[in-house]
Amino acid sequence: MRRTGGLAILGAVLLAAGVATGDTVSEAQKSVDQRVAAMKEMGGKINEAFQLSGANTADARTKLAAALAIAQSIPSRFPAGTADGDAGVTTRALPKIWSDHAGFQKAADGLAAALKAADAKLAANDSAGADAAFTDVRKACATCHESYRGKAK
Amino acid sequence: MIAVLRWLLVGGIVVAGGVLAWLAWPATGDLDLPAGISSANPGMADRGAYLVRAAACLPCHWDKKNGGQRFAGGRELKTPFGIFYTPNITPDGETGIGKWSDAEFVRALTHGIGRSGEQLYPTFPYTSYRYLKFEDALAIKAYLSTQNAVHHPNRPHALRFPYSWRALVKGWKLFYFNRAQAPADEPRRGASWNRGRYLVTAVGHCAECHSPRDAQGALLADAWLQGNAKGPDGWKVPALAGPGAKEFAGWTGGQIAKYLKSGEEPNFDSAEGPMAEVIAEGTKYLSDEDRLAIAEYLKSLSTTPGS
Repeated sequence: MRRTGGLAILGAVLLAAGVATGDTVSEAQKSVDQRVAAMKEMGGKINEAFQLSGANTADARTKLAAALAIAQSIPSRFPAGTADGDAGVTTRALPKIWSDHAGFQKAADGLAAALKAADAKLAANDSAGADAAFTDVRKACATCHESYRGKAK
Repeated sequence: MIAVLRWLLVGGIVVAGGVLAWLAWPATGDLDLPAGISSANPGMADRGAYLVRAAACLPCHWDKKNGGQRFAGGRELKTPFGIFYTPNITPDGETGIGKWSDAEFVRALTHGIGRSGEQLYPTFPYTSYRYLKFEDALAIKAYLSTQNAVHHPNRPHALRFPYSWRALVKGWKLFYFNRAQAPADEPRRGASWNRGRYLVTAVGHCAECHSPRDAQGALLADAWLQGNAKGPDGWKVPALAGPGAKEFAGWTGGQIAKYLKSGEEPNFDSAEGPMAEVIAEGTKYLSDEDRLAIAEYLKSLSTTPGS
């Protein structure tokens, strides 16, 4: 009986510890996780639009519009305290995002512009133009990542 | 009692001395290459040019960032054991591999033993190259011998003790390395799957970065290709198999092949870090068939977990 009681106490302690660990995800980390999910969602939408381009223009444009909405939200997804090196967060976001905010904003604007350009080509049923525009979208992603994203961790 | 202790002490010293002598003793014995194969045979350099790309030799053996010469080594590789500096593999007689015989070269690639019989650290991926066909190893030598000879002395590694003691690698090999024969082709699978397996496991040595290692630096066999949180230069390397490969498992074979050609990921991201170098100096030059073969093999890992 004593042993059972002891096990019960031990279980309760472990459970409490588990809950406590779950609670230690900081607000900053939640913000990081959300923006990572948003970036992945955006990439997925762009790819879907790319796959649909030439086959179903209307659906492709819908996907692209969803991607554009996320792209335009990028600058707001980097609040203070969510840089690599800040306490309580694991992120690839380099401090340069904050120290060179004008450059970061420009890169984000570049992505939005590239997405709009791709949409215009889709709207004009310009298949070759759309392919080139999607290549520019990819370059816009890479431009920002090369300067403002650190090593995978 | 004292006599027994004295004998134990003497015995211990003798055993320890024997182990030390064994460790320090350079490897002897040349490799017996099958008759008729030679790096001097016609066509070998061309064959090697392709394999050097498939093995992505350059990203490691070229200190590009600091203005080094191609294949002259000197690139810094930061690891948990210290810093390794890659060696010069140009045909320079003094500082490169210009004086190496065919047998010495093949022995280094497949057994991890240097020209003087010294042990090579497994940073050099002989744990994968042990599966190389001897002809392929010799073709690589043939191609390297056509490159510019660059006089560039090898820089000694800067490793932590005890890893700095090279002879210990011999003991390490006792536990973690054997010159296993490459697995035979699986007839149930097609030729492209078997080709893909050879490119992934032997030539491309993908597991060396894409698998986790234990505290002794050995690849964890049961987590093969399952990602590596402590990859080269501090990069986390993604899983290509196993439970952590969720994202990769969503890629089609065609998408994998495209990635190996251009670095383009399906989600419009692009290859970065060490993998971008592997693509730029390696997989981008492969044939479409070989890239698809690699993809077919990798896909077979994520669709049948545990195989």
